[in-house]
Amino acid sequence: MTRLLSRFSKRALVIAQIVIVFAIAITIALIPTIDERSFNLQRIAFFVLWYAILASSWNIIGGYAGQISFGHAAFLGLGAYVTGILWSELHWSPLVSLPIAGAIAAAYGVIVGIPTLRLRGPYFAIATIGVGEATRLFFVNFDDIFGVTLTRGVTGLSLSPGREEMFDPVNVLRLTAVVFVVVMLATMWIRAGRFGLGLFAINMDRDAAETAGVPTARLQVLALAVSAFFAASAGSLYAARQQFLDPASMFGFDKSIALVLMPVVGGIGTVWGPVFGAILYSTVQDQITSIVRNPYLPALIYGLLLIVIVIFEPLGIAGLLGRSTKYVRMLVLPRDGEP
Amino acid sequence: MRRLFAVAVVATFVIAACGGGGGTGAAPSGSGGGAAAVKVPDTIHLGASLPLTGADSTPGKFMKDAYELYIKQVNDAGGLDVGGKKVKIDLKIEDNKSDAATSGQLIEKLITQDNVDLMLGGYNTTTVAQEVKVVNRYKMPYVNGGGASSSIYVDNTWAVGLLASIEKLAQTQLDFIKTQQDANKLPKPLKIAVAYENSSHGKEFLAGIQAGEKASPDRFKVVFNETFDLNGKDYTSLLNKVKDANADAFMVDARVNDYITMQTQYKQLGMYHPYLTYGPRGPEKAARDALKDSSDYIAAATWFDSLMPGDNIKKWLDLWAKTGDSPEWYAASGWECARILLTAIQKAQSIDKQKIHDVLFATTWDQSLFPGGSIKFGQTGQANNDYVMTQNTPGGNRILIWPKDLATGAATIPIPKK
Amino acid sequence: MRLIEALISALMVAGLYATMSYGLALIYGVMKIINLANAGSMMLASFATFFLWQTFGLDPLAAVLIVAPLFFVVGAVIEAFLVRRVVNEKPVISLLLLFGVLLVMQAGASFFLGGDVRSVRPVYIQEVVHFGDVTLAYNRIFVFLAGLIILVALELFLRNTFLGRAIRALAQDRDACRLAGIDVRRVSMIAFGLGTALAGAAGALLTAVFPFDPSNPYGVLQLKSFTIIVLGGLESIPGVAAAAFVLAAAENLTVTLSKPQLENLVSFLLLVVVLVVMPGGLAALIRRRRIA
Repeated sequence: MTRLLSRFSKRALVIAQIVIVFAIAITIALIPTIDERSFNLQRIAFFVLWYAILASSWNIIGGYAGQISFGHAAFLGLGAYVTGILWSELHWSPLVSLPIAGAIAAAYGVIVGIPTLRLRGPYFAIATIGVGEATRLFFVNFDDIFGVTLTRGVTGLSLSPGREEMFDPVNVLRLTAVVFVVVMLATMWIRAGRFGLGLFAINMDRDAAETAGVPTARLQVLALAVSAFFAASAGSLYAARQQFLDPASMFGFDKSIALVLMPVVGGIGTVWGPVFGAILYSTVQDQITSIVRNPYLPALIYGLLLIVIVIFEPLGIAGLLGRSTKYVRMLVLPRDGEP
Repeated sequence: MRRLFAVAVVATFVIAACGGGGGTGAAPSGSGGGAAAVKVPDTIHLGASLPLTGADSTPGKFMKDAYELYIKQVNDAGGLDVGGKKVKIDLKIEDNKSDAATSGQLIEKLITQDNVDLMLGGYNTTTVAQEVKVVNRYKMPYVNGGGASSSIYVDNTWAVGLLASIEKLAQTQLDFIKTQQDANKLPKPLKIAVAYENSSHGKEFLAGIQAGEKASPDRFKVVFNETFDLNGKDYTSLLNKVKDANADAFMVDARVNDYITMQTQYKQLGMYHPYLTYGPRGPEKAARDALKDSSDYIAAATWFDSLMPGDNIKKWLDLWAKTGDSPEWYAASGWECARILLTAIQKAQSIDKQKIHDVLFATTWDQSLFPGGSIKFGQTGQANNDYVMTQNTPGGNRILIWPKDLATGAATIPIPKK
Repeated sequence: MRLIEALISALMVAGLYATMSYGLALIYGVMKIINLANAGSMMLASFATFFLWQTFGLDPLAAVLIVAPLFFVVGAVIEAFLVRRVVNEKPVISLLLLFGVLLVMQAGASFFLGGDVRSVRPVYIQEVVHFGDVTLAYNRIFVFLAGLIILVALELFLRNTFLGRAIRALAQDRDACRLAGIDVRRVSMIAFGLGTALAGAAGALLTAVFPFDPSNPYGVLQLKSFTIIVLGGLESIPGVAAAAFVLAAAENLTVTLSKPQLENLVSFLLLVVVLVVMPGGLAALIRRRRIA
């Protein structure tokens, strides 16, 4: 079996994956052009891509580096609010503020990461819960602490429609497709290179990696920064499309939970796992209420799924797919059955 | 390998640059202006997103019942007369779990996937603000009776709201206090301690009081003001600070659950003020049942009270009694929303969104349950009816104390010391 | 004067905070696992207490005697069927597992019982006692006393019974215990059960002072209990008690001296700061001083 797999050069596999990413993005970006009035499809497409971006970004620190973050909504919300505030105060387009929001979030990730990533075992995870909640409360109380009117606290920040063409949901969808491609390429690139290798080494055994000369602290902080950057860009996209932000929704623990669930259910540490998880999550979130009246059913399902996955198939959906045909397995779990 | 990725990234941006430049895309709209005349279907589909679970579930359920009761009444009578035929009404309600972002997505889904024709509103300022954003983007008429803050209606063209602003709520209370001061029942100036929830609702409450202070500094003096977080559990430290402020009046803006918690702790600390109010809270049956005599003599300003006189109010009370629920203001508000929207459809003789929009804004809605008997939506979409004030009396009862033409009894001011 | 009242108020709340944290500390000590489902157990216990009160008029304090043993069984079951399988894996695995359990508890409660706020109003809810200028509510005093009794009982159990000492031994050195002939699996299960029972007791006591629904105030309380066990030093029961008071005091002082809205922010900042600066917590500080 192994010999067969090595026949297909890694290069070919990577090219295949890149092609798939482009295919998805271009197809989705073309939806509005093909059918202008397909609002529902555009809506669903946006959220699937959006969740995929978020799940993949989490995967970089949670999957590759193995540091579970329960407070990732902090970066999502930060990105959203930076874009929102730059829009409402300075009328800057999300195209401009997206990279800025990402950079600020990355800096925040570094600041938070340097002291906390040193922590062993589950302490980082607990610290992230604290950071997530502290960030939320900070934004809720921001205006009062500094005596300004910027975030508008609990009431929410409503963004006035600006120059129509810029903030059209169709353009946001296209921008989202672009960001999706960038994130997927980034995750694949990290995977394939020394950065990813180092992260996986740290994930397996930090001390051994340290002994082998891997700069563990630096790599982990870098992973968190990259992860934060992409999570924040998703936040910017949300702000651009929905044009309304409130701290409870943006920084809420529910969002942080979703950010953990998607990659874990989809396949933690794999390239495509987060995408599978995102598709599952957004579909269930959206459509389940049409089937069952009770809105708490999805959360119940995810909890049960999580337990089952942790015990029986740690690589989630990707793992399940990996048990099927050889070709699917190669795409999904290229390293001889490892992610 | 690295070159491969570099090429891919460059390709992405090239494609993005080409794609992004071309076309701005049609602004999404339900029925674009100038489109062919909208046919009247056999069933009109309405949509709404309500908090059926979570922190706001009580008002949410009442509103759902109110919407459904009105619609059932119309359907049982054969339906609406539109475009020469009898049309039934169908209402799809989604549960937003008292979360604003969820509500925004549900509203969008109702519009794009369920293709509802028109929308009824939700509850709670933040959630309604989010919903208003979405309905404006899709140019969808939206009638709500659950969001009172004026911040909701900034940049709004398509939504209308029944509830007058919170500043007006505070001003109404101050107007009432003025009459008490003139009758020497409350001191001049009245020292007021204000505690308000950390939201636009709370901030507007404070703003209303402060505006009153500025206009009449000889009458009102705010000696203490602080904000508190929602869903608080322990207000004892805050209440102790209020105690130290030695005020004559304690005016609070809080949600029902926080009101119950705070008032329990207020009584536990043995606190007393000649005038006590929790904004619009106080007369709700659920709160009265929970607090019992701890909530006696609390004054409130609400958008509707079942003690108000009027035949149409009595008729509504009879109808509402069938649900077995108490006639709270949010029930009346929900009923009015449904009534106004359906009447608008009938007046416009169409479900064309622009026509409905115009009818909603142009009409003065008579036979209203709200104080004044009629509702007219202002330029921003918000109505500006008067508030009615109540005071809780012992035995689980209450009286209307303001305005004078609606009052059913004399207010007991100052509150008797136990 | 207000400062003293704030501190006394903090003392009352600390009893509750401590009770909900003992379980976490115990489980971590024995199994080196962070029980994320702690808050979930608390929440379910609160609901159980509420239904007991609603149906039988049973006072929450008395309900502790029914709820705690019930949740001991719940905890033991969770350990035997779920946690045991992942005890030897990387810590993140058990973290994710217990997170899943928490989700199931929370979603399950919301799904079956609805998300409405419930509130228990024991007969003495309005009764207060005055000590000069300071007013104390009876329900808080009772909850504090209950917390004190639980603390004493727990310490006695851990020090004077064979099982208690086995648990402490397990916390110190798992392998040595195996050599000493202790049934590690059984004691682990009992420890997890005990930790969950303590969470259950806390959930019951909580109903006497606060209103609740499936998500509030448990999310915030869970974080506070993390702060407390980290501050107290993850494995020391008296450390937890002391830390609970420190946290409660910090919160109340923030409200009294500064703005009430910053109350929760202070707890979370404290968590992050303590994790980073003082991973051993107060207990380690004290230990260091004793050795030095």
